[in-house]
Amino acid sequence: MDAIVYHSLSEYALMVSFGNTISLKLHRKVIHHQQLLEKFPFKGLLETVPAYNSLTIYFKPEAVDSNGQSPSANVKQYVEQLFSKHSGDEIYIAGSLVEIPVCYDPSLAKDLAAVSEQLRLSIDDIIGLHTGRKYKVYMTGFTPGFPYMGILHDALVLKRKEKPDLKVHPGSVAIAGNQTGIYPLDTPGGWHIIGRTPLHVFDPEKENPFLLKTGDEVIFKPITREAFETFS
Amino acid sequence: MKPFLEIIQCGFLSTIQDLGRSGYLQYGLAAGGAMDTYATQMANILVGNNPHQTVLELTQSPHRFLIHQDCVIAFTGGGLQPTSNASSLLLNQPLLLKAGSTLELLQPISGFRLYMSVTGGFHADMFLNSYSTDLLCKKGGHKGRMLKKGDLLKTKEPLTHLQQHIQQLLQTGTEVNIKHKAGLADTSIIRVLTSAEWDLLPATAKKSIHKTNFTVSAQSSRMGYRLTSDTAWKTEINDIISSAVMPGTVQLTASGELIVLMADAQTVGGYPRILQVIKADLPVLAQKKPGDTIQFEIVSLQVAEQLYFRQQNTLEQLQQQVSKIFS
Repeated sequence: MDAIVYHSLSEYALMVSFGNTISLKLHRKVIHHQQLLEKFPFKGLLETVPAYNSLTIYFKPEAVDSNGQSPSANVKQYVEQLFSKHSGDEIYIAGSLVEIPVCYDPSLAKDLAAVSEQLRLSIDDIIGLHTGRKYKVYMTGFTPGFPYMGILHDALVLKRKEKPDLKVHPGSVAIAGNQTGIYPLDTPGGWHIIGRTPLHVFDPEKENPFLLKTGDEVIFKPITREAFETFS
Repeated sequence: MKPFLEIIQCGFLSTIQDLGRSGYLQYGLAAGGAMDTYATQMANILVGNNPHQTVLELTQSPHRFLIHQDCVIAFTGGGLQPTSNASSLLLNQPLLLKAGSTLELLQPISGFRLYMSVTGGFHADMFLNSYSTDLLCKKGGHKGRMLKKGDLLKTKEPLTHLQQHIQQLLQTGTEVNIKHKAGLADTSIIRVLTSAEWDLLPATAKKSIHKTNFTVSAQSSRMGYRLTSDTAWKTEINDIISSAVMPGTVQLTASGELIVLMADAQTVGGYPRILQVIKADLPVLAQKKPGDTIQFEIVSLQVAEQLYFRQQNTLEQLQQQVSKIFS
């Protein structure tokens, strides 16, 4: 078992690392500890950021009960004790399973033809492989709501583009390395775009603007161009 | 409520900010908010606002505003010298601006970002628990965008008793000069903590990094400052498994340059995190402009915490001073 490593990233952030690999097992540990902290919060806790192999805990130094001592040392002590006391617990609550419709029509998937050529796979094979499994949301970042999902089938693994696009279309479904993601905004992007979803992974007009949460599972469902246009 | 301020001319990248949003980092939404959080709090305290009230973050000349109603304001930070009807205004003091007067920010002074507070704060759109402008999401602040010519700004909240008193006192022509030393020193030394991937740096780099002059590059923004130096910095590993980053995180990019993440930075990153600018010195860095030179000084976490608490105390003392003078 990997040892848990604690590192203060700043006066108000403690990072807890659970190992140095990317795996479902390790990620499950990250989410388990995030939920543990949600269940047993400390005074001054603000929020947490789960990633592949780490959980970062943000707090307000002036709100931490530390009797004039170092707030970060105090938080570290609390978290260490909490995590070791509950090391055997299983309070892991699975995320939601979200079905995401994707249109793989080349008119909406600007890199699909190039990807097909590079991978020596037909477009149908690519769609089959991409929709053929469930993905885990390992982390959300880059831009608001961008889900880093894995793990992609080995046959779809490609390096990022040498030259990133200056502007991608919101909803673009893309692949890079052994991951897949969805661009929420018209930002620059270096991943290969193989489809587009009519869903908004980030909608600032909504009360909860985020479609996905770290820990959720995603399955892609192919839809026609017509279904994409009429999607509501 | 009628607008009290009309923008006749506006410099680039001027926005409404507060102290940023919290609770959405895990969804990849940056905290955002003012770059110089210290100057923001100080500007608010000087006019009797809550320290987290909305302010204008003003950069790059020229700005010309027309004042439509008597108002009490304060300027903090730096970068631009405010003048009204051709006379220079003081920074770091509450000031009365009379209806019909003009306000101009033209001449550069030391620093980079000028903050302007007004009693009651600036009216702004709320977006996910904060009024700060998020330029990426095009939400919050004034219509989710930078301020521009023709914008009419209103105040947000009614004046408190203290604020009514401040205004009346200034309207009678009473000279108010709050004696304080709350402004931050203008120094090129930025104090840092060593961060999670510090040990990936070779021993020679660890020894020389604090003796190096870094220049703030022209490719710097509210998301991050790119720093250039004569040395190409290298680590044995170019990228790490992505995890949390925050304002002040110093990343080492694959090209050997350092980037200090600032208020609008992303929430996770895959470059080695070698240093972390201490919370107390991030406002000092936020006042640096492209071309300025800085040096890093490594301090312990305990020192960083003490410096932060000292700053918080200074602000609390100023708050007490203001309420004493005007009550």
